Amino acid sequence: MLRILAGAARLDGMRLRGTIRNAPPTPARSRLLARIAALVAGALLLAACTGDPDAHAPALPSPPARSAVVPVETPSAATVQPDCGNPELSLKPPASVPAPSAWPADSTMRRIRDRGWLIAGIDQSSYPFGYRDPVDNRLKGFDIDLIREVARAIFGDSPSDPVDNHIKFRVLTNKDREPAVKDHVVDIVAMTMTVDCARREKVDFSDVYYVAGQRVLIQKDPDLPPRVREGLPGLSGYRVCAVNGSRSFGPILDPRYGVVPVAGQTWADCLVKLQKREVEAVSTDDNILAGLRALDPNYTEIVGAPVSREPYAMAIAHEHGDFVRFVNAVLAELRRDNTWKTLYQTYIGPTLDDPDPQPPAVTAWRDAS
Amino acid sequence: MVTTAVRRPTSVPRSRVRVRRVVRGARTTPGRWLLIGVLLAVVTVLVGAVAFTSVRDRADAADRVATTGEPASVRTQELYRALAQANADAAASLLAGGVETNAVRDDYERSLDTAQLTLMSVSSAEQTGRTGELLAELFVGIPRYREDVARAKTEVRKGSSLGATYLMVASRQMEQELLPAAVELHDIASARLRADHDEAASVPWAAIAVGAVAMAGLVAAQVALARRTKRVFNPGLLVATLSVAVLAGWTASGLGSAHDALTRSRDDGWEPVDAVADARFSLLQARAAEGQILVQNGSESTRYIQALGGYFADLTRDDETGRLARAAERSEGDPVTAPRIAEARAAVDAWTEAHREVMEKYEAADFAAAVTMVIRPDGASQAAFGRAEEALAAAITEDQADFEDAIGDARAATDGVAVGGIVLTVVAAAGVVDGVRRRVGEYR
Repeated sequence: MLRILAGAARLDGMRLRGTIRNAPPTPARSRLLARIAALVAGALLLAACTGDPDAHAPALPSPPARSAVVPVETPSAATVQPDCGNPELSLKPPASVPAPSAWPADSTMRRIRDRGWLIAGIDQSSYPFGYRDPVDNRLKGFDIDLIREVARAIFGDSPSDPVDNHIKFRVLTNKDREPAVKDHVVDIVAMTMTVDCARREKVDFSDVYYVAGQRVLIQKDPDLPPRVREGLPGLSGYRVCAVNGSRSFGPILDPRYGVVPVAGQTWADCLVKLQKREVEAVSTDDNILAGLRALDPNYTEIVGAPVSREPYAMAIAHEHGDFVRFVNAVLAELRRDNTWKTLYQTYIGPTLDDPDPQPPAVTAWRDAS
Repeated sequence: MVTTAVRRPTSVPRSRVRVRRVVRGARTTPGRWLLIGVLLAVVTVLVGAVAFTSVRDRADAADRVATTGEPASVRTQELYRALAQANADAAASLLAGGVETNAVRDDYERSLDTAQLTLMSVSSAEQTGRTGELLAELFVGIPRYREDVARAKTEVRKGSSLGATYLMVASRQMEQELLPAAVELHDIASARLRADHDEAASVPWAAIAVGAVAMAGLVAAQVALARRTKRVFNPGLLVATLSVAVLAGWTASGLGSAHDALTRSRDDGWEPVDAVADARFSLLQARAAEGQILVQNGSESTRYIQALGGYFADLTRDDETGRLARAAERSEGDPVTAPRIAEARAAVDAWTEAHREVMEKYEAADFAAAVTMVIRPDGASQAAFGRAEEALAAAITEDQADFEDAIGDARAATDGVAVGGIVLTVVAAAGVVDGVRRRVGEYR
C-alpha cells in the first residue's frame, strides 16, 4: 500500500516538474491502477459474498410414536377391611313376604307406603343392570327390576296404578352410594354394589342376589392362541384394559399372570381400544363385560373362569332392620318362583351365555341359620 | 523519500527490511502522510463495506420477514385453527344424529381439507429437526383422526352409544397430540419471525462506529493539512469527506424509515394477528367442548363441562391473561379492528348466557331443545358463537392487510442504498488517494 502511494507520488512529483512528456502508461502505472482496481473489487466481492451451503435433501422422516397412552393409575391401596366375619350374611327373613296388614304400625314399610313412594338409588349407564333404553327412555335392567319387585311388594301393581308411579329413582355415582343410604336420602340402593366389611360398617345389606366375577372380553381373533380362552391366566404378554382406579386392576396387576396393563377412561373406551387393536382383552366384572359385549355382539366373547368373587346385594340403612328382612323375603320369593331366572335370562343371559343360571344360594344369616 | 541504497547484511530477512523502511519512512513527513493516507483509505473502504453489509443484512432480514417469516406464521395459525374447527364440527355432526345437515358436514370436511393443505404448504418450506418431527406427527395423525370420527358417525347411525366413545377417543387424540403439535409449529414459526424482525430493525452500531471514526479521521486530516500548508482545502479529502457524509446520511435515512415501517408491520400487523388468533383458538375449543357435553350425555360430560368453564374464563378475563382483553389491547389504535374485537367480546358474553340456558335444558333432560340451541343456525348458542368467530376472522384479515402494506414500505426504504453506498465508497477512496498523493507529491 505504501509503495503504491509512494509510486504515485513519485510519478506525479515528476509530472509537476514537467520532466515527463505524454509518455505511454508505464508498467509501473498500469500495475498501480490494476492494484487499486483489484483492491476495490476484492472489497466489494467480499462484502457481496453470501452463499448458504447447499442443503442436502432431507431423509424420509420416521413415523411418530403411537397415539397418546392413558397412563395407568394403580388403584390406591385397597381399604384395609375390618374383620366382620362373613360380610355376605344378612338378617333372616320371615318365611314369606308379609302382606301390608301384617306390618307393625311403626315399621319402615308402613312409613314408605304411607308416604306413597319408594326412593331408590340406581345407575342409568350400567348396562345390563341399570340403564336407560334410548328407544322409549325408560329405565331398565336387572337392578332396576329388583327395585320394582320390592316396590310391588309394598304398593302392589295394577294397570290402573302401575308400580312405577310409586318409585322415585335417583341417579347416583358410585362414591355416593353409601352416604345416600346412611343419610336416608334414599331408602334403598341397587347398583351392582359388592358387599364387604368396610361398607358394612356404614350400611346394611340384603341377601346376595348376584355373584359376579372378574372375567375377560376378547375379540374373535384368529391371531390369538387358544390359551387366551382361559382368561387372565392365559393372557401373559398380552395387553389388557381396565378403567383407571377400578378394583378390576387388582388382578390385572398380579405378576402371576404377566399381562401388560393398559388404562382406559371408561369401559366403553376399553372396548374401543379392543376394536382398534390397541389391547387384546378387557377385564372386569362379567356383568360390565356383558354390557360391553352388547355393543359389539357378533365379534366379541366373554371367556375365562372368574378370578374374583363379587357378591352383589342391595344397601339399606342399619336402622331399618325390618326393611332388610322384608327385602330378603322378597328375594327368597323371587328365587322360589323362578322370577330371578326370568330376570337373568332377560338381561344377562344373552350376553353371558350361561345355559343354566342359578341364583346364589342363601342358607345362613347372622342372627340365625 | 530518500532513495539511498541499503547495504543488507545477508542474514537479515526481507520483511524486516521492509518494516525498517516503513519505520524510517514514518519519521519523515511525507512518509507520515503516506501512512495516514493508507489508514484513511482503509477506513473509508471499511465504512463502505460495513455500510453495505449492514444494509444488505437488514434488507435480507426484511425480505425474510415478508416472504417466509410472516407467511409461515400465518399458515401455522391457519393449521391449528382448521384443526380446532374440525374438532368442533365433528361434535356438532354427531349431535345432529344419524344424518347431519349439509352445512355441518361441509364445514367439517372443509376444515380438515384446509388443515391438510396448510400442512402441505408448511412442510414445503422446511422438513428438518423439530419441525420435521411435528409435521410427521400431523401427517400421520390427521388421517387416524378422520377414521375415528367416521367410525363414530357410523356407530351413531346404528343407534349405538359407542359413537360417543369413538368421538371421545378422536377428540382426545386431537386435544392431546394434534393440536399441541400444531401450536408448537406455530410457536417455532413465530419465534423465527420475531428473530428476523429484530434483525431487520436493529441499530447498525458497527456502521455508526466505523462511520464516526472515518469522519473524525478525515476531518482531522484536513484540519492538520490546513494548518500546515497554505491551502485551506484539499479537494480530494473534501470529496472523500462529503462522500462519506452522504453515504452515512443516506444509509441512516434508509434504515431509519425501514425501521419505522417494520415497527408498524409488527404493531399493526403480526402482533395483533397473534393475539386475535389466540382468542379465536380458545373460541373454537370452547365450541368443541360445548358440543361434547351434549354428545357424551352422561358421566363423561363432567370433564367437558369443566374444560368449557376454563375456555370461557380464558376468553373473558379482564387482565393480560384474558385472550380477548389482550387482543383488544393490541388492536387499541386501529379504527377498523378495535370495534371488531369489541363485537367479539359482546358475542362471547351473549354466548355464555346462551350456554347457561343450554345447560338448564340439558339438566332438565330436555335434550332435544339443548341440541337445537347448539347446532341450529338460529339457536342462541350457535348464533352467538358464529358472530364472535366472524368478528375475529375479520380482524385478522384486516391486520394482515396492514402487515402487507407496512412490510412493502420497509423493503422499499432500502432500495438502492446498498449499490449507492458502493459507488460513494469508491469515490471516497479515490478522493483519499488523490488528496494524499497531492500532499506527498509536494515533497519532491
